[in-house]
Amino acid sequence: MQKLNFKNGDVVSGAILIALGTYIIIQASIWPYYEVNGPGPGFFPLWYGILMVLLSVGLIISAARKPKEDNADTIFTMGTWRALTVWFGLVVCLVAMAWLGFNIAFTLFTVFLVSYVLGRPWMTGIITGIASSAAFYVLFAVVLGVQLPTSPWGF
Amino acid sequence: MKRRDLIVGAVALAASAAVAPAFAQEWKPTQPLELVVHGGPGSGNDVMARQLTTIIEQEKLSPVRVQVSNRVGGGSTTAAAYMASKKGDPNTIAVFTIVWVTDPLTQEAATNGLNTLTPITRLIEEPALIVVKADAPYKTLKDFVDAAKSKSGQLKQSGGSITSRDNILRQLIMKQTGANWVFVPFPGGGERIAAILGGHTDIMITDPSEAGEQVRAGKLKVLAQVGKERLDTFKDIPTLKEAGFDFQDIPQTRGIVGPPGMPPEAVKYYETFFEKLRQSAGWKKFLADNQLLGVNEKSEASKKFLITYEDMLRVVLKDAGAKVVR
Amino acid sequence: MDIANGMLHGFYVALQPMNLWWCFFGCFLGTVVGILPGLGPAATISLLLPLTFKMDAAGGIIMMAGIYYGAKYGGSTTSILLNIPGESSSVATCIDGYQMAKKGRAGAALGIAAIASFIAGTVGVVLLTLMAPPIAAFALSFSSPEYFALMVLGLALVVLLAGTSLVKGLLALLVGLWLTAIGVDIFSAQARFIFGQPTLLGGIDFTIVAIGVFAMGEVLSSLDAGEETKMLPVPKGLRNLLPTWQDMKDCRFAFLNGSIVGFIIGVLPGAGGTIASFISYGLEKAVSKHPEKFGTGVIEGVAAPEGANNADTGGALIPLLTLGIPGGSSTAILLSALIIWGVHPGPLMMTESPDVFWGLVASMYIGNIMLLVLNLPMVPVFAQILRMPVYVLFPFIFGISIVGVYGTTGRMFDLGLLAGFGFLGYMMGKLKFPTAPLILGFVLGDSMERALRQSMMMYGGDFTAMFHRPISAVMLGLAGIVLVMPLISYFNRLRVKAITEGA
Repeated sequence: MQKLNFKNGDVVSGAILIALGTYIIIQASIWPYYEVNGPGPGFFPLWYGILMVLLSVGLIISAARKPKEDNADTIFTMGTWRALTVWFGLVVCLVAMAWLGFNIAFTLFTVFLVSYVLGRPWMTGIITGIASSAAFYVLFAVVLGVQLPTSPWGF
Repeated sequence: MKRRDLIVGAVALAASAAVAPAFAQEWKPTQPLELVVHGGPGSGNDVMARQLTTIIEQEKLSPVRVQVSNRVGGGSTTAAAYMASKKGDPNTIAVFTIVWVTDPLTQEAATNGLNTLTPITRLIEEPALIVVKADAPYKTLKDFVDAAKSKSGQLKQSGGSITSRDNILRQLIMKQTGANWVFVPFPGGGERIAAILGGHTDIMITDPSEAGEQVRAGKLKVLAQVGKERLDTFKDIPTLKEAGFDFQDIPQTRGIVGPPGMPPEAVKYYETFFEKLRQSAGWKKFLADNQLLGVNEKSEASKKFLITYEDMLRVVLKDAGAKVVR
Repeated sequence: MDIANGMLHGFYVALQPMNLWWCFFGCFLGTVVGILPGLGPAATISLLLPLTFKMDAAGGIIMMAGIYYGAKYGGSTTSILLNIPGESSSVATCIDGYQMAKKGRAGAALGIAAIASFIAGTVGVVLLTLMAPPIAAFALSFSSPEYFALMVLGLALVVLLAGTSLVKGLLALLVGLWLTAIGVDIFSAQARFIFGQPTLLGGIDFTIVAIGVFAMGEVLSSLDAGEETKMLPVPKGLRNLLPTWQDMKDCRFAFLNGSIVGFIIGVLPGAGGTIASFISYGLEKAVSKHPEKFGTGVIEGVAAPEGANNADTGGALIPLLTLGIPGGSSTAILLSALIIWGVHPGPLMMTESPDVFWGLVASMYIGNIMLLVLNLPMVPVFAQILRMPVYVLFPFIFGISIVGVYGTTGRMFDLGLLAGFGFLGYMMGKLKFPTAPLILGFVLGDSMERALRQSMMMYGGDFTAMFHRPISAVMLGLAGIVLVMPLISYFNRLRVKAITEGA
């Protein structure tokens, strides 16, 4: 498998943006471009959609023309997987929040982040988790009266 | 172990609280009421709801606390969907406005129409003023309409969204007279007034609380007022009907709605509750401060009103060029 | 009542012990909600509104306004320390502020933010005192073509924010333009790009995009880079935690720039603090002797936007108090509060309610001093936050982002969006796309589209009208210069290169 480096990164992001630009153009062309008294809802998106596609093509071309030694850095490293693991954990935590409420879901996420990802002792993770969600709860929900995500059972 | 006991206990408690009152003959709330608004904290509706709860508290109208709950998003759609999800719940009510009708009419994604919920009462009709800049050459609304006829499409009105009340009125007047002028939408009330004060637009239809100060200071003048009768502060200004524009108006209105399938005894409770509110001094002051007209309409009448209202709006919105989906 | 008498009377009102207390209370509360994302000044004022019905109008408005401008002081704190913009107007502060914190200069950044806020905030109030009526007339002369030109000028700044690759900066800007179009178009009631989600009908809240792309993206990037092993440096000793004399000298122009730009843009009902802070940042970079250092943690890059953001308050109060026109959500709610107290903001307010008008203006001088005194001593304390070990700091940032977003909108759906924008911010960093242009596009795009369509409607579809109006023509010209500048310098470099190679 070829390593993903900056040259490829530009190609990939350029391709994604071409897709997005095309989507914008297609959507915009459904809506009226010009109405009785002035530009319609399709006017502005059509133009920036076109511009997006053109610039993305430019990005890909200039990436292809770059000399080889410019792109020695690889994009995907061990750290990337770690960042993505945390991100995935965050998504799970946010989904869980609808069922477990802020306090429990956030405590679990913190334990995962501190002990599993950052490799601290489990005790540290558990203490940090409980302490931080308690602190958030007291400061925001109790003192300031800001709403926090709650479970259907009211905690 | 302890935690599990707690959870079980909490579930049981919540369940009993939700079920128990539904069977009572004469219903009374036993837990805090949730008053849902579709605007965020600080928006016009939120401010009104918070004033309502203050009046309720001051006059000790409710045996339980009334809490404002902001369900923001997609105009009224998030709030309406929230109400739909509270099916049968007697402890949740919401403040509705005209957007609760226009959103489901124009948006495919807004599926919870006001009539799928339980309208409880209509509280307010909002009068409006038709204003121009003080040094404008028009003395009456007819002058303006004539000018708009001779300069078709050149005069401009500053307003809100095209589904808003000001555009609906413009459509009605244009339809009746055959005149034509442009509607320029501005999202903020401030920008609208600034546009007319700066002479960038020619006319504006707005509520008295927004334009009243400008009129008093002699920066704007009122051509006509929209409403069944003249307002106390604008005694010498003709209503639309008196000015010769006789058509069925579609008034801006606000009221209270409950979730679908709200128990009849709860509806009854709220009808009496808001009746008491109408009698209170605090409510009367609120209406006077904001130059609003009180409406006294119970659940059945509100329902009927909203059905004809929706039918009329559907026609006008189509004329206004909005895509009507239902 | 002339200005001198008015001010005397105003200070008499504002210095009443009770009103001094309300002023302090408002400023203090404002600082707190400014620091904490998720509880903006508009929401705070609205929540407190029922409690103030019994207060007298002068005391009430003094306190409420204190919350409003106090929040702007506090807004910079999380931007600098954690890259979390608490309010939309402190996004521009993140750019250089957070970089300074990374270099161990968090204290200096926080300190200069407080000082710039004080200077510009005070200048704003002075201008409010002296020039309210003529400035209000100027605000009214601004129409849609001028707003369009202003937004174009703002967007042209992308050239200055783009960093190494202009193409990538422009692409990020376009993505921002697209994101801001999501929701119902008020011109046609057409729902755009909502993917069948009713929640998206109202568009995406700015806080979600900013916190996701900036704060979340940054944490994920530092996890990637393995930076958790080394803590951020925080120098010891109070002296090293405050701005030096040299810093103050470096910021001389920034103070002036922030004050003037912030005030003028603040006056316009259709603009606001966010635009003011970005334009002032751009201007600072454009005239700087070392523009290439911007974005790596230069102190002027903090002072200018923070100043603009605070001078904006003085400006925004002018249309509110002299015309009864609110420019944003915070001023709109101040307007309803005044009406509840029986005061009618508008052309007659100065003569009918001099207590309230002059009392408020005078209290703002006092409030700004209070805020400086409140905020400067807190700088060394806040700087210590960065001493927290990462395993405390990271959960803290995640937690505050979640609470901030949920507190603003109260929707689970938005937490999903937050995670999405976190991923976007992280990937953009990885692929070397600058994030600031995306935010710029998001903030300005909607207003620009609206202004463009309004102008075309007003002038019967005639686009050239924009160039016939002097103010908009000048601004469009400036935007043109900003856009062409990098091309000129590019050709210059080519020429220099050719000459040196030829020699």
